[in-house]
Amino acid sequence: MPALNEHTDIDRVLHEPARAVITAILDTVESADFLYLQRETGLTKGNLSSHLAKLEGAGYVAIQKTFRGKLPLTLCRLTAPGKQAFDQYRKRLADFIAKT
Amino acid sequence: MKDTLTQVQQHARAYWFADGLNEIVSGIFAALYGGLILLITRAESGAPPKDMLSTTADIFLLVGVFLTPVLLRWMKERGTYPRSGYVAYPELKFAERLRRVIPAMIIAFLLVVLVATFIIASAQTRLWVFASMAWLPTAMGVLFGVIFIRSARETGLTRHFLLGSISLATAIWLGWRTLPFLSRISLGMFAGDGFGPMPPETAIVTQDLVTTVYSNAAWLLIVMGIAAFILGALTRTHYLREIKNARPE
Repeated sequence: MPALNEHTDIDRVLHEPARAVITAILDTVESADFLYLQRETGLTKGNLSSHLAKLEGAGYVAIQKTFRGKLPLTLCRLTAPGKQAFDQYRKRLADFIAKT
Repeated sequence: MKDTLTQVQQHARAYWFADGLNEIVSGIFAALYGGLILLITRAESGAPPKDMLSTTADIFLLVGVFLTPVLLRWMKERGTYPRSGYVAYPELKFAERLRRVIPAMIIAFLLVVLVATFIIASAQTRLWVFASMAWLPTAMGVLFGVIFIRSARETGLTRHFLLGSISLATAIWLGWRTLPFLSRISLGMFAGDGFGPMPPETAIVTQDLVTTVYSNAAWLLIVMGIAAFILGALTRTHYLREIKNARPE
């Protein structure tokens, strides 16, 4: 059943509410820091770290630890494969909703 | 209806305006510049204060255009990012900027050619140019309105929709102020070949036209500046109340 395969073959890394939201944010901006992502998603530090690590592991997000003045700053940005995967994921979702 | 991810992205785009600083800084700048222009239109022609005010307005505009973004970034670095996080937005590449600027430059050039042709062509076309100049501040108000309403659609910010509506309402008011002036111009004022000295009656009406255009533009800037400042200040108060003084991890 090819039609069913289309739906089950969805990107599992992105098909999780928190990670989809993080990716959607990073798709809009050039980069965002940990504090901003935490406030926007409402996740705890540990949860957000874990999701970011998964996205980084999949090669979708690049994380850079730096300083802004004397304060530590964790900058996150979507990579080119991440952007491509997110666009594809959204298209899949839209197709799925349109067909049902 | 927008899906959740679209709303999330809209919210991320609106973050640049979340602290209200943009409206506060640009509102103060616009209102002060509008005030200066209004003072110039009310000062006596050729008087030293008028020349001084004109120079002040020119310097204020030049410095403001360059300084406002720098000041805004500096304020956000100190007041916003440490509280609610840092976000960098994608900047347009040079080729993309050029792609957007070139059509605008072509349109501006064609407009200049059209106006010049109209001035030379006939008395009727000269009258059209003259009458359309009176509507410039109204057109500016409509343009601001469209820009703000478009921004409201992209960011989901109600106050930008409000600012767009205020701008459109001000444009209507300015149009209303322009109407009596139009009854003073007639085809006879633009007779001749369009070269040589201007008839005295035409010179007086032209002087009045310039004053009306400047005065209307000043009122547009004052109204929009004050509205932006008030909405920005309210947003700032709400932002500071909502966001705890958090520090990065």
